[in-house]
Amino acid sequence: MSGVALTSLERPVKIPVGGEEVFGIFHPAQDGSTDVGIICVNAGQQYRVGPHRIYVEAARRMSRAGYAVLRIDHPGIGDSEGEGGYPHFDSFPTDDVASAVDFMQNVVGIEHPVVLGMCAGARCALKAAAEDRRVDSVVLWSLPIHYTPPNSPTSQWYGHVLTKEASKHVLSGWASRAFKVSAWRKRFFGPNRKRLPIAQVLRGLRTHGDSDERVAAISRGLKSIVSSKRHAAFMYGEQDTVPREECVAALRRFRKRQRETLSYHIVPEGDHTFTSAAARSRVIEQTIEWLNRLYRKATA
Amino acid sequence: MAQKSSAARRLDGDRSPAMSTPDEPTVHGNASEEAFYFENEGLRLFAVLHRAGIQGPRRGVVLCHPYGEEQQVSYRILVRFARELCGRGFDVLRFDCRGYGDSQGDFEAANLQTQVDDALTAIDVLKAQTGIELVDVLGVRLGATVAALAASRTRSVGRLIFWSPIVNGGEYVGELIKHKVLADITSGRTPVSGEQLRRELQTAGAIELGGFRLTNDVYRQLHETDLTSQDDGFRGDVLILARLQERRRAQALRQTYEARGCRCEIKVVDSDAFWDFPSLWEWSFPDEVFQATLGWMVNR
Repeated sequence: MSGVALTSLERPVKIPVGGEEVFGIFHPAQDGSTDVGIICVNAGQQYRVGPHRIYVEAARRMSRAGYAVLRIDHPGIGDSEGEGGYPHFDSFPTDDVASAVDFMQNVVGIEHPVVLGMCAGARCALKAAAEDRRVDSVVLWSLPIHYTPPNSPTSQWYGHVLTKEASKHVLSGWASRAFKVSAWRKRFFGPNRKRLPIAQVLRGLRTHGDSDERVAAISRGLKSIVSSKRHAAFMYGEQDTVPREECVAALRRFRKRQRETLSYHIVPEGDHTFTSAAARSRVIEQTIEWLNRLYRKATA
Repeated sequence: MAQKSSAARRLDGDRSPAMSTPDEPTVHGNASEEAFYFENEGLRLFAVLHRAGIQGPRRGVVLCHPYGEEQQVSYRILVRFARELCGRGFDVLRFDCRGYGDSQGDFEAANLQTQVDDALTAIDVLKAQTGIELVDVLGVRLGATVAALAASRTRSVGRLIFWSPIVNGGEYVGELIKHKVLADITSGRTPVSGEQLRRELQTAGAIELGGFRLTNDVYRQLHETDLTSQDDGFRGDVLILARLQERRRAQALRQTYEARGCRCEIKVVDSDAFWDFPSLWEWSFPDEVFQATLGWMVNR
């Protein structure tokens, strides 16, 4: 029971954003601290509990470790007002994150707001931090710098440039199936035959893909974090190969001295959403350790 | 049930003066929506009460969510349907069973029986909060099974509404295991057969299924559950919403209820599996399911 034991003061909150209200669950730090507060941003369309309930487990453990946590739903997700309907990774708003920072600072009295997100939520967290200098640091779980899986169910993913790492990954997948008749049959006659991003792969091998606005926004976010000397933790599951490699490539573009505030972590046996209980526990543990190092709290 | 009523204590949380403003219910016309926790067997369970805010005779509904990841995927669908019901004069209680969503407890420690107990307490909470004596219970997938089992243990349920009910728990758990095997194959992990998974379940006591741990206890309980052979005292009206491929099971369930003297209706709907992960990115709502259910609930 210890993993997700409810903290006694956990409570629902509503935060005004424009003319609407977004819904969240606020976990005060169990020891009453108000120095650091973590805002968890939806992992894509998944509501505030996160994939496999990881945000709930993280919030409760962080609360016990002395951090206040706020898990919010974007408009149209979970219990928030609004219609939602976000077609792709970069369509999630950041103004509600700014309102969550307002709440943490003005209502709770938090000194150092931290924004945490997973996958699409990590992209949103990074952009929110770039736009709002009040955000002290960011925790980015499984941040996709660019990669869009070729078998993604949603057509909106296509038409975007793949990175070199993603292109190599797709090509190696094709190469491994090159001598299989069934694979060629699928390629030409299967239901996904139109979905193979051949042009994107070839273009991706030649470029970094920064001409794409959505990738450029992530680059700007990273530059903003680096130039303002704020801290960022990048955490990837060991099995989450392509996003992990893309992140390494993206971070290499900064000079060594610029990278001092950036911290890169690999979670053993983790996949993109830390599906296994052990990987979930480990990424939460690594995050708390990183926060403790950054904010000088004693690790329990 | 009298015991349950006294145990169904609503918890308002510990509101500090600074926190009171964001907790106010959202009001749409006369309707309101309020999140809170209630207690069952020492655990705090998260709930949202949608009040229709109408004068005169009122009707109430408790919504029971499905199993595992299906709960997360279908969360917003139930939020939207609760708001639709509320707009038609129903007071609606949504809640998370222990180990789910924002409620207390580990998923691994929950089972079918605890879900039924939580549902019975939720029924009492709705009655206590609204003064409604006879409530409807709507369940989705395994939530429908929970609703059926709960209705057999109380006289407080007037009508049952099932969306794609899990009639036979053994078949359902077989589907879950098959899903896991296929997911491993498509994601490139070392494939494990269904038989191996069942053996692991016996030896290790639990297996990972899509980020949630299926325990041997739940496996056994599901295997023992067949709604067509339950000894059931429920005599109210029943609506079954079934997709074409679920029609055979739905008919068997209807025969069971009719044999007990219930009025039971099946509506076959053309709907996707809205509880499956890809539907999150499709951002579609099962409108036909909504309309068929609302038509029956409002006019019957």
